[in-house]
Amino acid sequence: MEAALDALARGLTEARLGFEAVAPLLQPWATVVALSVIAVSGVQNVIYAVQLILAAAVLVRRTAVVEASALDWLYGDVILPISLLVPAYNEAETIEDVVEALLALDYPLFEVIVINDGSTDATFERLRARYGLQPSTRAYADALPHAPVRGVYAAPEHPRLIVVDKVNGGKADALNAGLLLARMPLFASMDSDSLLEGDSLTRIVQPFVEDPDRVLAVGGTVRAVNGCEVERGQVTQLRLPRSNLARLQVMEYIRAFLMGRLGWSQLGVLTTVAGAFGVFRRSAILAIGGYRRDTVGEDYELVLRLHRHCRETGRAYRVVFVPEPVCWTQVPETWRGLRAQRLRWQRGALETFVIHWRMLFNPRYGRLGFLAMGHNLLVDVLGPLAETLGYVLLPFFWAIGALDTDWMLAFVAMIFTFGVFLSLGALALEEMELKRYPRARQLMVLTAFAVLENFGYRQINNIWRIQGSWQFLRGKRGQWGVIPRSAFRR
Amino acid sequence: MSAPLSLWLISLAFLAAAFGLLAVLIALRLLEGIRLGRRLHLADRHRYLIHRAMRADLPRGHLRLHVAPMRAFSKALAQDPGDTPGLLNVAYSYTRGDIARNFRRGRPRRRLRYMHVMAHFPARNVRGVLRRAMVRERDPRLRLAAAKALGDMGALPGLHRTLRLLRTEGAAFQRVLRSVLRRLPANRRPEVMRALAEARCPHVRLICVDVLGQSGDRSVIPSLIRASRDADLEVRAGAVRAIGRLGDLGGSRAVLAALADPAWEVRCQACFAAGRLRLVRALPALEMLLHDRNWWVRFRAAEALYGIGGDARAGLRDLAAQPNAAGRVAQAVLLERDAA
Repeated sequence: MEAALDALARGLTEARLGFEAVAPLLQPWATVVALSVIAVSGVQNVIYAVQLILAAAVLVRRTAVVEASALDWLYGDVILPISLLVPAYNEAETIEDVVEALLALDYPLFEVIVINDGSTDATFERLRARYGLQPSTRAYADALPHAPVRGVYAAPEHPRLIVVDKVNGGKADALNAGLLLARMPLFASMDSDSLLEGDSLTRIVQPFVEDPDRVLAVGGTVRAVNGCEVERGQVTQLRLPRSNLARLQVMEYIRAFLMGRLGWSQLGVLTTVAGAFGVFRRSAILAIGGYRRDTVGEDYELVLRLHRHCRETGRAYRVVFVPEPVCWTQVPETWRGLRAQRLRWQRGALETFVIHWRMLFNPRYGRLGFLAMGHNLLVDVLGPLAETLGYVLLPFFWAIGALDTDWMLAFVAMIFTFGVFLSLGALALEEMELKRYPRARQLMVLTAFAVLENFGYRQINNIWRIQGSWQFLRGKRGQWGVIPRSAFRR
Repeated sequence: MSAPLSLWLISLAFLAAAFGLLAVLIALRLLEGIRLGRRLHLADRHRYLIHRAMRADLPRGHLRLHVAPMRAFSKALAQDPGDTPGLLNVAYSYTRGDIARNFRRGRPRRRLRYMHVMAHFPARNVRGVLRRAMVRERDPRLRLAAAKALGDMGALPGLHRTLRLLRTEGAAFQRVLRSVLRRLPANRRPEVMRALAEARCPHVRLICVDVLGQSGDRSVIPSLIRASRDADLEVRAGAVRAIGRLGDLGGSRAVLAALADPAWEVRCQACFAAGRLRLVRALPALEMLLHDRNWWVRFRAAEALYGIGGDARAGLRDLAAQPNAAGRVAQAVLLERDAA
C-alpha cells in the first residue's frame, strides 16, 4: 500500500515536472472548466435536493389509505372504468404471465387490450392458443394515425380481454390503435413485461376520483421484479435481484420515482409518466391527437404535449404522481440490454426536448418552462457532457498542477459525495414512509448499492447518454428497444 | 478556507448525516424484527387461549380478561342470533377504549383506518366520534371517510348539514361525496328533491340528481324531468341518464327532448336512456342522430336502435348498407352486437 502511494506521488511529481512550463498557462482555463463543471453539477444537485425535500414533505403529510380493504370501502363504488393497453412486440416469453396477471386484477371495471405490433416471434400464437381467441368486431372511430389492423380478437371465456393484431409500427403506433379501441374513460399504458399489484388500479385511479375535472394523467411507481417470486402474476416474495446490475437499477428506480417524480408532481411540473404504468383520461389524450409516432420517448413526449396544450388553452389541469400503486417490471440484467435501453431513453429525451424546445424558459409556460424544461436541459443535454468533461479534464489538470486540490475536492464533492447523499436520502425516505423491502438485510444491501451506483455505474450511464445524443444527432430513429426478456421467477 | 474546500466539507457533513440516518433506520428495522417475532409469539399464545376458552378450560388467571366479553357475546347471541350490529357493539364495548385512544393519537392514515373499523359499530358514542371528525378533520378525505362511516350506519345528518360539515366545495371530491350521499336514508329524499330545485351551485344539483337516480324510487321522476332542463349540461346529462336508469316511461318526454339537446354529452345520455326505455317514439330522432357530427352520439344512437329491437333494428340493418358515417357506425354496432 505504502509502495503504491509512493509510486503515485512520484508519478504525480514527474507529471508536474513534465508540464511545469505549460501548467501556469493552463491554470486559468483549468479553473474555468472546473467552475463550469461544478456549476452544472451543483445546480443539478440543488434541484435534486429540492425534489428530495418536497418528496419528504408530501410523504409525511399525505393521508395515504394503506389497507386495501379501507381503500375499497372509501372508493370502491366510485372508481372509474379503465382500459389497460398492453402493446407487445416479440414478448412471447412473458406475455401469457402478464395477461393472466392483468385479468386477475382486483378491480371491478376494466378491460385488457393487448396490441400485438407485428411480432416476429410467437407472441400472438401463444395468446391465441392460451385464450382460444376468436375474430371479433369492435366499433371504433378511426381518429388517430396507426398502421393497419389485421384483426381484432376476443376471448370467449374472458370477456375482458381484447387482442389486436396489427402491422408493425412501433410502440406509439400500437398505443394509438389500442386507444381507439378502448371504451373506458381512463386508459393505462403498460409494458408487456410488467406486472401490476392487485390493488394498484384502485390506488392509481384515486386522484381521478378525487379531482375528476382537473386530473388528466397519473403515474405510479415502477419497481424491479427481478429476483422476486411471482405466483399467478402477483409478487408473493419481495426479494432483491441476484444480479448486481439489476440491484443498481433497483436503487436507481427508487431515487427516480420517489424523489424526482414525487417532488415535481408536488410543484405541478411532472413531465414524465412512466410508459410502464401511467393512467390517462382518454378524452384528453384523443383531444391532443394521441401518441406521436416519430419519437421513441412517446410517454415523455405525450405528457409534455398534454402540459403544453393545457397551458396554451388555459385549461385547469393536473398531472400527478402517486407512490403507492406499484408496477413490477423486468429490468435488464445484461450490460448490452441496459445499454440499448439507455440509448433509446436518451434519444427519446432529446427528440422530445427538440420538439418542445420553445417551452424552455418561456414565461408563457410558467414553472414548467423554467423548472421542468430547465431541468431537462441540464440532465439530458448539458449534464452528461459537463460531467464527462470533468472526469477527463479535471484529474489531468490537477495531475499536472494546473488545478488546485481544493477545486478537485469540490468536483469530487459535487459528483460523488452529494450523489451518494442523494441516493441515501431517497432510500431513507423509502424506508421511513413506504417500507417496501421487508428485511433489514435488504436495507443494508440497498445502502451499499446506493453508494456503489455513484462509482462506475453513474459514469457508464453518462457515456451511454453521450452515445445516445450522438445517435440522435446522426438522425438514428429507433422503434422498439430490443431487451432480452426471461419468464418471471415462480 | 476557500469556497471549493468549504463545498467539500459541507458535502462530507451531508454524507455523514445521511449515513447516520440510514444506520438508525437499519437499527430500528432490526429491533422491529425482534419485536415482530415476540408479537407473533403472543398472537400464537392468544389463539391458544381462545381455543381453550372455547373448550371451557381457560386458566383461572385469564378469566376476568377473556370470559367477560365472551359471556356478553353469548348473551347477545342467545337473545337474537341474527343481530349482527348488536354483536358488533358488544365487541366494540370491550375495545372502544383502545379505539378512541388510538383514534385521537394516531396519524391521519391511522384515523382513516379506525373510521373504516367504526363503520361496523353503530353505537351512539361512535356516531358522536364520527360527527366530530366530520367537523374537525382538516383533510377532506378524512371528513368524507367519517361521513361514509355514518352513512353505512344510516346516521348521516341530512343533505344540507352533511354538505356544510364536509366543506368540499368545487369539483374536487364530488364523486366520493356523491357515493357518501347515496347513503342518505329514504326519509331524507324530499330534502334532496327540494335541493335539486333550489340549489344555486351546479355541483349540489348534480349530487342531488345522482342520489335520486340511484334511489330506485320512481316517485323522483318529476324532479329529474325538471332537472333535464337545467342550465348546466352535466346536470342535464345526469338527469337524463338517471331517468333511463330508473326505467320509468313517465320520463320519456324529457328523454325525447334531450335527444335534440345542443350538448353532445346530453344527446349521448338521451340515446342511452331511449335504448333503456325502449322508446319507439324516439326512432325518428335516433335515426337522425346516426348522422350526428359526434362519433359517440352516432354510436350510442345505433346502440339504442339495436336495443329497441324490432323495426328499429331492421332499420339499422338497412342503414348499414349506406356508404356514409351513419352506415359505418350502424355496420360496426351490428357486427359487434350480433357477434355478442
